[in-house]
Amino acid sequence: MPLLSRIFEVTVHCRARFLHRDVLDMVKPDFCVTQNLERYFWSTRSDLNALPFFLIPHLRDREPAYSQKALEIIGATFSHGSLRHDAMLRMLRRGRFPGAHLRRIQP
Amino acid sequence: MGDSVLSRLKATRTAGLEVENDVLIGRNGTLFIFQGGHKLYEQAQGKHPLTAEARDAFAQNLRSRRALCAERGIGFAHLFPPDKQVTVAEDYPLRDVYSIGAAVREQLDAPFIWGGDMLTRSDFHRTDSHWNIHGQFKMMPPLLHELGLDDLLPEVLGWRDGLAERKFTGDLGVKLSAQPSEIASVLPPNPDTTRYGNGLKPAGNEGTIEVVLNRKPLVRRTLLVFGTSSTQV
Repeated sequence: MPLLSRIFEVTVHCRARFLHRDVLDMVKPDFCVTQNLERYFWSTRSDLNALPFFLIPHLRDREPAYSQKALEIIGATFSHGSLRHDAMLRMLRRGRFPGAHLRRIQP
Repeated sequence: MGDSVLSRLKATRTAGLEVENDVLIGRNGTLFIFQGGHKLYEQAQGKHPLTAEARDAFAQNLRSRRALCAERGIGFAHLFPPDKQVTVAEDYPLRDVYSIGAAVREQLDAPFIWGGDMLTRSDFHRTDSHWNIHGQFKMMPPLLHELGLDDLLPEVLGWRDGLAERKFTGDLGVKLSAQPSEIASVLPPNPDTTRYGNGLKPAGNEGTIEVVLNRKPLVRRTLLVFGTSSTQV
């Protein structure tokens, strides 16, 4: 739904059947939307079955392949309140996309 | 011999059904997933009806999600889109299509947005399994209302005036040898957004992350979505 990313300043989409509490607490969003599909409904299970979200690719024999830029932006987005996250929002609010400066922020 | 004729010859005809590469070719050239990984044609016949176990797990998930979000001051909504064969039933080769979503809506008095009552045939792509941009626009009033963002609705719906058209072959069309296409409405590219992903290889479902940054949003807020390709941003 590309409409959503036109509405919000930061939009995070996680392909997942559960609400992952770990992600909720990393991103600390203002709004959360969950979505399911009819054809999967028969296999609905409790969210208590959710695994740590970042382990899922490894458990499914898939490998994430982050670009350097994606690593920086996803790292900032998933660490709400960190210096990186603050810097990312500051740049956006100046009308610029975050760039190399995120790399210069020391953990 | 044209591609479409070749494609039809290659298609399997079983009990009056035209199927190629697990794509069911319906009336008016409308394409549907035939069985997929979830025996969809059997589901459409009502062979796998709603179970109390799945319904109750869904209800409990909605309750706990709402509570988790409320504790954290996060606005919450759940979106439940119908399958294509439910909405575009007139092009599907069954007279009565079973809808598990409609059964859930009927049995659960829980707040969630069921698209089955709102979407029509024109809200789905002909050659793709997903809703199109018109269907997505139709979901905006209930979704923004649920999130307490009704004031944004006039501007969001105004974006319909800027839609462009392009030739498009959907996820079902590309599976056919004839590669049928359609003219689809699309939002023009937005120079104020950039996107980043975790680049899962091979591409798959669970575990995929997409982040979109917008330097000129309608609201300077963050949205987190847990969903499928139907809500992909």
